[in-house]
Amino acid sequence: MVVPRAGGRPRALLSGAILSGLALDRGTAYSTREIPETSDLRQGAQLLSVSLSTGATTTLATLSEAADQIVSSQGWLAWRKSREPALPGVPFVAAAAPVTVIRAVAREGGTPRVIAVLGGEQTVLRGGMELLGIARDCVYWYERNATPEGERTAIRRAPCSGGGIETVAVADGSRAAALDGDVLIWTAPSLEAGNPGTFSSVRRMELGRPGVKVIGDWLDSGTIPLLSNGRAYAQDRGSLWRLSAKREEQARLYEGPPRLAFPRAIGDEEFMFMQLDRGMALAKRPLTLWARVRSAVWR
Amino acid sequence: MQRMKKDVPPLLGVALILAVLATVLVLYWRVLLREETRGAGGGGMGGSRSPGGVAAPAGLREVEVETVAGQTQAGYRDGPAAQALFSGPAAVAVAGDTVYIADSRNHAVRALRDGQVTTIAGGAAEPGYADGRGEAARLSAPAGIAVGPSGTIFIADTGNHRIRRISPDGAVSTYAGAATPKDDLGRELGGYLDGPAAAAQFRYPVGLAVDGDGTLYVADAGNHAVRRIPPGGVVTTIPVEGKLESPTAVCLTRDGAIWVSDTPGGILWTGPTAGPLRRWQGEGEGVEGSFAPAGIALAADGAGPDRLYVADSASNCIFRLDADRLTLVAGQGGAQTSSSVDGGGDVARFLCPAGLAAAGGRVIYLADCGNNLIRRVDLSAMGAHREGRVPGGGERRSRAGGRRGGGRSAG
Repeated sequence: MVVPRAGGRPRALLSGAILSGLALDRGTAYSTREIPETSDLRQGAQLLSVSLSTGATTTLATLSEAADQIVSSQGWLAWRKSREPALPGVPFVAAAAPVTVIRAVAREGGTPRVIAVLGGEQTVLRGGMELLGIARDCVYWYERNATPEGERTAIRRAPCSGGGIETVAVADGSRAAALDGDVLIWTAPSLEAGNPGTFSSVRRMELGRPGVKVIGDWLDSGTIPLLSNGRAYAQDRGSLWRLSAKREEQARLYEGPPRLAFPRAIGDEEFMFMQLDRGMALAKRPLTLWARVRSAVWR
Repeated sequence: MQRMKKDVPPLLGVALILAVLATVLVLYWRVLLREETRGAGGGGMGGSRSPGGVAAPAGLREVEVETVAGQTQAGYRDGPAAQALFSGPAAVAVAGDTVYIADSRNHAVRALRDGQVTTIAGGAAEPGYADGRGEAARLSAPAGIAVGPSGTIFIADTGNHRIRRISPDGAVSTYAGAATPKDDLGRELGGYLDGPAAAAQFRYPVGLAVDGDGTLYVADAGNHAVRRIPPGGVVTTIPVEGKLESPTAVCLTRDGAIWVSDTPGGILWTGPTAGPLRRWQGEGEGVEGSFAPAGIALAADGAGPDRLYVADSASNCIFRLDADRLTLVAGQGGAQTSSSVDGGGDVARFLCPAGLAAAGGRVIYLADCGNNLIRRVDLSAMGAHREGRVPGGGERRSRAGGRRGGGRSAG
């Protein structure tokens, strides 16, 4: 569905039994649509682009399976698909372990290329992974591995045109990361607080340049970092922080009640956190009569 | 209170206090009794988990667990056993004084002998499929291993969906299994087809056992079946009264019976080797819940005849089958807390224990998959407390199982 920023009636851009993965880039939406049954009786999917203005749909590629997540850049589209274990509940058979496959294709379409296969024989147990985006013709992702020694977290990349996987940063104890342009940020246990389980810091790396900077600290352990128009933000409990390479410029933009579980009324407006594709956003809207009643009840 | 003191005679007050005290004592005693009985035979001890229908331990943790090769870090290194590295060892087999190991994530078969670990087949960083000798041969995540009567080593080449063999001269070849369709990553999907060994198809074969005639039994996990391959013969499927989920290990008795462990449903199956297999019922209860038997082996212990030992990858424990129930013999239980600890069965810890194999001298070897270790479990002291009363006064059934004989190996 699409709706103008100024509001209005939503309209359908794409329809299908199962649509999965969604990326937006320069007036175009990308998604995959499952094909229930193909000629060889194996399920397949289409990678589609849709113009937000005209609704024109183009099939960019035919895939063996739909995407779980799609990211885009000026030149590339990349997506991931996680496969269930072949023998559910049998953890010691490495060959049957779940795998996540990352593929990429040129933005104008073509033959998709497998650029990384994660899991399988690599580890006994695995955590999750999330694509962060595409920068400098490489797909970046955030990866957690559960090992007998503890959880291992890393940010890795692989070229969209194929090649080896490279580790960009080892970020043990990290909970989330974000990529925008050439800037990569991620959370890490706080070094200043001396209590890594309780407080987080946010670290920043500029791709192609050496060095990692701490741009925020003393944040909640569940902090979610966010990049927008080159600026770094962090959502920490009920607060929204603007982060800066100069630590003294770390500023709280909004302080809300800790861990907002429900929309809360403040003055004549209702505030709530919204889960976005990447990170969190703080949203507000005028209080309706119903919201006033609900707010009074909850209070 | 003042009024009570005035109205109630002192003798009656004392009687009331005594009655209250007696009630408290009786209640306390009943609770204590119940807890002790539960700890002895009803479902857990020392915080350990045990599957439904499984007897908790009393004096049966008389085993000694010892690490004989590997370190907890995953890796690939031959050499002295203490310095050697494995990655996800999934199965073991014993022949003479050698322990053979299906080192699944190293795509290799390793051998432990005289304190030295060597690679006898495979060992590439990536999975592959190629015949050859030693490290020229390529395997894909082998998860089962057994040694035949002539010294031939059979391998469940799980990722290649084939049964491979290593002849005594070290040559690796394909014993059974044909090519199957591939997915878009170029990996074979496996298939299901009975018939001549070269044309038959398997899907994620895991456990292996071989009898004295050289007939091979395969826990074909992906096909939910147990397959039988007589020497140079035709692959058939053993009939089952019911439905197997993912059979993980096979074990043979001397009197012609077969045991099969089935994960994740936590079921043991047994029957004649020609079938049909029937679900084992322990004391009227099915063994379900968190029970995930990954490896089984028949071994003798200090109490006498061979009995079935089961490695449970869910509770990280080793159990023994005592005629009609399973008894915890080693492990602390709990997937979150288990790690690697040597010592008596009551302190030993495992992580995702998988393949078991019996050796002579009342010993079993264990592929401790999650810990990347090969462990040795000495059973010779077991049996001293098999009869008697459990703490708290409850009587534990402890009938010795019938003689089942020893399987050669179990994957």
